[in-house]
Formats: sequence, structure tokens, C-alpha cells
Amino acid sequence: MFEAVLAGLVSVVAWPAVGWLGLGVMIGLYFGAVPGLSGLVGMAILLPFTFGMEPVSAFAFLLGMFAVTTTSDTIASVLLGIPGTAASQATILDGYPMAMRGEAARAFGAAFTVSAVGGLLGAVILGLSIPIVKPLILSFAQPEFFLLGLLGLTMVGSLSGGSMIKGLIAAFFGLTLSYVGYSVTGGTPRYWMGMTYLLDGIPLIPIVLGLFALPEVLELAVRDSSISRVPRDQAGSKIFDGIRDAFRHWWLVLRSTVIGAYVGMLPGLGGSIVDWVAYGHVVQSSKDKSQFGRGDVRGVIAPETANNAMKGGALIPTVAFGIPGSASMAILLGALLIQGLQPGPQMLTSDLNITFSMMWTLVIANVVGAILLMVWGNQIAKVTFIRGHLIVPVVCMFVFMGAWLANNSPGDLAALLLFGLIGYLMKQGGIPRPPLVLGFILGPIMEDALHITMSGYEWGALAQRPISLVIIAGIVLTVVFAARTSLRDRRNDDRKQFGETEKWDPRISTGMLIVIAAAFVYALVPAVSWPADTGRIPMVTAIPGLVLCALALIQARTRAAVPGSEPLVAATLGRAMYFFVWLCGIGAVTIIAGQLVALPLFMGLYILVWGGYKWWLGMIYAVVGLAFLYVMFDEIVAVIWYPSLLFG
Amino acid sequence: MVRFGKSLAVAAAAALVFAAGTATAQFYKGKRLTVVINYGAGGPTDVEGRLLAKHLAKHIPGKPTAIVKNRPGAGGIVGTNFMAEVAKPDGLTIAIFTPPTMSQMLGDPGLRADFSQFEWLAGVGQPQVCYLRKDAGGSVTSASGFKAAGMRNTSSHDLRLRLALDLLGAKYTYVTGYRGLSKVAAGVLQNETQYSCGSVPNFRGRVEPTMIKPGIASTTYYYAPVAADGSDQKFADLSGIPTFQEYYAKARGGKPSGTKWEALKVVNNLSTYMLRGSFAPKGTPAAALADLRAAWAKLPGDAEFVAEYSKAFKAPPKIIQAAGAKKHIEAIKSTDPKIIAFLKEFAAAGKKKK
Repeated sequence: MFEAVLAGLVSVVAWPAVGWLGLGVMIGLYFGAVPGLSGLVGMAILLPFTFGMEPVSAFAFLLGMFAVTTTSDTIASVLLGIPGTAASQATILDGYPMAMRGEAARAFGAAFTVSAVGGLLGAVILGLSIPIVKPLILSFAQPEFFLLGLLGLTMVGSLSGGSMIKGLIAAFFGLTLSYVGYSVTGGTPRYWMGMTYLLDGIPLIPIVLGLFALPEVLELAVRDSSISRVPRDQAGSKIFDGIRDAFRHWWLVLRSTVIGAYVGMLPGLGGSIVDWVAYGHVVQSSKDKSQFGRGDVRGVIAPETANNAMKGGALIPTVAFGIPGSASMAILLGALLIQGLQPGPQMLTSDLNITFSMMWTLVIANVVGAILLMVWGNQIAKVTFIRGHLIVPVVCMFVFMGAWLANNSPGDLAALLLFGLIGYLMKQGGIPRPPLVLGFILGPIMEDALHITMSGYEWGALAQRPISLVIIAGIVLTVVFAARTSLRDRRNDDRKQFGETEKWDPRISTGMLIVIAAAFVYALVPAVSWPADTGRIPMVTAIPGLVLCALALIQARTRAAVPGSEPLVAATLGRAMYFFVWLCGIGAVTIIAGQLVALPLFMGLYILVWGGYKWWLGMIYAVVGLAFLYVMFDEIVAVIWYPSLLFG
Repeated sequence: MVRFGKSLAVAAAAALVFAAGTATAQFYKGKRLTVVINYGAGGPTDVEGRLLAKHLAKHIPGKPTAIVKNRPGAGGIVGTNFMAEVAKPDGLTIAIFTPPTMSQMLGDPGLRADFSQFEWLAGVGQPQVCYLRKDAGGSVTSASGFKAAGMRNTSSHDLRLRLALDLLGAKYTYVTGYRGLSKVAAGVLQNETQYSCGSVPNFRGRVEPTMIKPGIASTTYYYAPVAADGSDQKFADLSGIPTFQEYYAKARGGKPSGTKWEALKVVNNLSTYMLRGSFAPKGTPAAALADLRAAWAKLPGDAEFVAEYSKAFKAPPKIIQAAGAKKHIEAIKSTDPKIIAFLKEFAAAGKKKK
């Protein structure tokens, strides 16, 4: 065993593997930092280059890239409130408020440190767990996945801020949105409105970018200030403060590592929820919750540790059992096969040195990636002090291209804009957005698992599955605990609970609740006449959703003054909507002349009209934007541009 | 803007070639060939498509740069609609797909294209191999009740799985809804289900090392395409595994017959020979088509390609050239309407089955 560990290390640090590893890390940092690109896109692009390599170099290249995407994804999450990859969605909840307080460098310091530690320990857990995980992985079948999904939903309590009812409504809304497209049993497409785009469901990235990124961009454009509301000379935070935070919260880092590695190990859950699970855990387990959602560094540490630790865990089922837990791991499995290796027992016996070389790749990549980012961190953090009008155009470019990469369809842009509007109004109406995303991610996992459980298992057999019973106990405990906390906080004035938005407008809240209720009705009506396996789950979701909406609306009428509510100034709302029209303009010009005209045009005009800068600055901005779009997206990612009316 | 420039350049180049009457070798010189794939990055279609694209480009006169673009969605339908409605017939865009032929046969509402409208270049076939857990109790016909795992009731995987088991008179419960062959295999490994089938790469790469070699499951049969005279078209690399007809003869005696057998043959022949299909949009210039078809014709003789493909997919490539591919695709339309009606009903019945 020890010889294999050593042989693995020697093979990774030998030339040319170490060169490929370094190159992989550099590429991975870029793919993580740009919203919409991700480790998955990187894996797909790099895979063909590994066809001719020997195995250790191939995996050093692929895993070196893959390991660090969840380190550099923090940059966009903290600076701009845009998740760099799907695994850093939870980071924005506290990371972005830290940036607004002028503490971006501190958030980076903490995030990069814990990413390295989490990634390193996650890889060690991978190494140590190999002999003992077989029974664990093999006993997590569909009934357990359904229950795990349910357990995930109970975290809504931790993500809802002040209002549990609104949190639940958002979660049910997210679940309902996840039912769009073909049902798991096939045959019947649901809620597709005759649009082929919707047959496969709404893609996650445009929803997340819309819900989280566009509202921030709208505010930045309307407010006309830098991201940091604290001037640069008063914000003393440095990378080093964050590193100190990371070590001060070492116990949290360890717990988050274990969460990351084990959630990653469960095939099918993986990276899409690991950050939410870790975030839910830190909120639930903290005594003082008052700063969560307002820039608590622990809210950055937990998800950033877990999303790097997850990668070591995710390798185990892929390598040892040929069960890939995510799309990225499916590509890695493809790479294994292309290398002539076979997943399964031999990866733990005759090819053990290769398995350990993968572990060492993760360790080295995580440490090197974090060090590189630390060196640049203080410089990158300065972006938060630049005037907002100079940042908005480039952020819009990334957001629009990030959404476009989902399916290369105008539907992606429509989804982005629609969810941008929904996200802005939810934010202004005090309806928490994270539960919506959680529901949307968990919906298909739960529906698939429930369907297979119902058709493949007898009810009696379920009671004999010990892991199922343990998870059920976990669900009951979480609900009881959340209810108790909620009641106690109500007695003690619930201002102590953290809230996603501090101030919200009761009129917008009521309006949004009515819109969401209408969506539940829309979901319910056709579901009644569908076959049971297609319509059952949408009905089970929409009915309680409607009841909760009714409750929230009644509560809003009967309670006079809800803490935190404050009418939005009409002028602010008007200006935000005016900017939203500009964003719709990007979509319209894209259809007429394509992105290579629409985005640079938007950038130039924004600098000129909103920013009030000289024409030549707008011109330079647009030309640099065009060059960037062409080099990065056309040449490197080979994106399919929209075939516009003019230039087709 | 860039596209426009490129289109102009292409048009100008094409005009020059035409006017000068020079060899078609100039058509692709300095050009970029876009290969569209109708599944997401990293899946089996993508990995195979990228490998094919890389080697295909070498054989196209003028050696264009080949780049791959994924157009995933709705079980391959989104990409198919894209090739029919959006892709330009300028010779610079071709498809390497897992063509959703069953969607056309069963009349999927989302599909807005007819496969016979495309300019076919080639097809790449792979049969499916089936396997059963040993603890399910003997063989497919003797086991007293097992669960058979599927993906979607209208998929060729599920239709074949149920038709074959029904023909054998197996006592089984059909459990569908797994997303992809690797999840199907994981379900069998976890003993959540006991039986399923997978393509040769899936079988050799995933099922064999984790279940067959460790003695958890055993191979039952593979679906060999059936010729007009009723004989099996066997594959040399699967010589140790019986074909479905051979298995049937041993288990039940004689040859399978009836509507279910006719339906199984139709679905299997199409899905096996045309597991992957390559085509260009309708109206693609003849010069480009000739170059592309010539390149496909050279692939089976390219030792480097064959070695790389065999290493990656644990089976030699089974390429059928343009005429053969077109023949198989046109079979969708010439299929007996009674068989199609039966398949629609059979698929719907499977959905209700618990």
C-alpha cells in the first residue's frame, strides 16, 4: 500500500506529468473564474487532448484542471455575486455582502485557504476510505436518494431568513419549475408550451445567473457606486485576515471537509448541492446567526471547503465501481476507458498506483491553485473599489455568455431575463431565492428516485433498509429542531434571524406571491388529467404551494407592520426597470445581428449613456470586449453563436 | 459579423473553385468544419463523436480544422431540429449524432425533422449486450421474478429489452426511469434491479469489470441484427456470447415469431446499425458531399483510427457507408404501419406497467 502511495507521488511529480498538471491548473483557474464555464466544460474540451497521452499525464492534466475550478469560482461569487460554477452558489450569500463591506480580500483569503485545505483533506479521505466505502456506496440506492433529497429540502429552514413560509413557497416554486420538460417515465412532456427548448427542462445556469447575478447588476447600475460601499482607504481588509479566519474556524473547516467528501461520494448528488448542504450546516450549527447573509465569513468558509473536498469523494465511486456521480466524473470515466484502464476492483489492486496518482494530483493542484490565487488576490479584490458603471458592461457580457453556453439557444437568454426579473422582484419582496434553487436542483433527483422506488420496491422492503431509517430520523430531527428554533426566535423578536434582504417592499411581496400562486394553478390544472406517474408529483407540490401562498397573503393582510418591510422608492424601481429594458435590448439586438454585435454595442453605449464617459472610452471598451469575446468564446470554447437575421 | 465575413469568404472560394473547374481538393482548404453532436459534452455520443471528428478531418482533401459543438436536449431531438432548420447547407456543418430514430417512428411531438431529408454520410453501429445477476436465480427464463432496468419507455433500449423478455416468456418487473446506461448498470450492481442491457462500450468498460469478472452477473445474449432471410449478422468481437436467436432456440426451441419478433427486428436493426449516424443538411454542395463521403470511406482502413477506437470502446468500429446508412434510415418510412402502431401501443403499455 505504502509503495503504491509513493509510486503515485513519484509518477505525478515526474516530467511530463508535472508539466501537464501545471497547465491543467492554469486552465482550471480560468474555467472556474468565468461564470458559465465550469470544470465540466473544461473536461469536455481537454479530453480529446489526452487520447495520445500515457495515463498519469492524462489524469494529471484533467484532474489538475478539475480540482481548481472550485477554488477560482470564488472570485466571481464574491466580487460580483455571480456563482463562478454551480458549486459556489451558496458562497455568494455571504461572500458578496463581504465585498460590499470592502472585505473582498478577506473573503478571498479565507476561501482560497479552506479550498486548499478542503481539497487536500478530501483527497486524503479518498485515499483512506478506499478499503471501507464499498458497502456504503452500494447501499445508497434510489429510496435513500429520495430521502436524502427530502433531507436537503428541510434545509430550507436555514436558507429562508426571517420568513419560513416564504422560504417554503420559494422551495415549492423551484420544485415546480424543475418539472418542466419530459417526465422521467418519458412520453409526456410537461409545461413545454410547444417550445422544443423546454422539452429538456429549463437549464440551471440561466436560472441561477438570472436569480442572483442580474439583480446585483441592476442595483449596481441604478446605484452608481462601486461594489464596495466602503471607500478603499477605509477598507483595511487583506488576504491575510481571511487566512487567519480560516485557521480560527478550523473545526468548521474539518466538518465541512467531511460533509464535502461524503456528499461527493454519493453518486447523483455531488457538486450541485454540496455547497448548500455545507451552508445549511453552518447556519444550523451556529449560535449567533445574526450575521449570516450579511457577510459572515463562516458562510464563505463552509461551502468553499466542501466544494473542493467533494472532488476527492466523487472519484471513489467513479474509479472503484464505475458509477460516475456527476457529468464531469462521467467524462473522467470515459478517459479511464480511453486509457485502456477499467474501473472496478483492479483500480484498487493492480492499478492502485494510478488511483494514488489521482489523489496526489488533487493534493498538488489544490495547493498550487490556492497559492497562485492568493498571490493575485489583493489585486483582484481592487475591482470592488472601481466605479460600478465601469464594471456593469463586462459583467453583463459574462452573464449573457454564461447563460448562452447552457444550450446555445435564444431560450437561454429569455430564461436569463425572465429569472432576472423574478430574482429582482423576489429580492425586493423579501422572498428568499436560495430555497428556489435548492428545490429546482432537488426536484429531478427526488422525482427519479421516487418513481423507481415506487415501481421497483415493495413498501415492506423499505422498512428493512437501515440507511433509509437513519435518514428518516434525520429528517424528523431537522424539522423538530427548525420548528423549535423558529418558535424561540419569534418569541425573542425574529430580527435576530438572518435575512437575505434587510429591507423589502410589502406591495412587491404581495404581487410576487400572487404571481407564484398563479404558477401553481397553471401547474395544477393539466396535471389533474395526466397519468398518475406524470401528474402525481406536480400535484403533490402545487397544492401545498397554493396553501402556503394563501397563508402568506392572509398573514400580510392581518399583520400591520412586519419588521424589515419598507416601500421601495418609485424612482428607484423605475430606473431599475429602465435598465432592464436595456438588458432586453441585448436579447433583441442578438436576434437581429448576433452577440458579436449586441454585446460590444451594449458595452459601448452603456459607458457612454449610463456612465457619462467620453465617446472614445466607450469605443475602446466595445472593441476590447469584441476581441475578448472572439478569442475566448469563439476560438477557445468554440461556442455556437446565434444565427442572426442579418449575418445568419 | 465574423460569420458573415466567413460566409462571404466561403461563397467566394466556392465560386472560384467552380469557375476554374479545379479539383474539389480546394473546397475545404483553410476552412473550418463544424461537427455538431446532439448530446452533451462527455457522454458516450460526445466521446465517440469527437474521436470520429478528429480522424475524419485528416482524410478530407484540404484537411480542414474540425471543431465540435454540442447541441444537446430532449433525447437528441434539439440537435436534429437544429440540423434541419438552422444549420446552413454550405458544406461546413455536419452532424455526428445518436439519431433519435425511434422518436420519428413513434411520432414524437417535439421532432420537426424527417431523417430521410438529410444528406447521409455514414453510420456507426454497435450492438447491445444483456446481462443478469447470478443471484436472481439461474437464467432469464428460469428466474422466478426479477426486475429489468430501463431508461425511457419509448427508447430503443427499453423496447428491445421488453420485447426480448416477453418473447422468452420471462417473469420480470419492468423498472424504467434511469438516466443513462451507467445509472442502469449502477442499479444492477446495487441489486436494485437484476437485469439490463448496454452497448458494447458500456458493457466492456463498465459492466464486465464490475459485475461479470467479479462473478456478480453473467452475460445472457446480444441482439444481432437479422438479415432478410432470418439469419443473424454476427459480430466477430462478440463470438463468445450467444445471439438472441441462439439463446431463444436453446431456451424455447425453434425460432421466435409473431408481431413482437417482427417489431424487435425492426427496432434492433435500425438501432444497431445506426447507433451513430453522420449527415449534412439538405442542399449541401455535391463537391463537399463527395469529399466527406470519401473521407468516411477511408476511416475503416486507417490503422491509427482503428487502434484508438478499439482501445477506447473495447470493440472495433463498425462503419457503414453513405448508401447503407441511407437505406437503413429510409426503412423508418417503409416499416409496416401495423408494426409502428403496435410499437406505439407497446411503449404506452410499458409506461402503465408497475
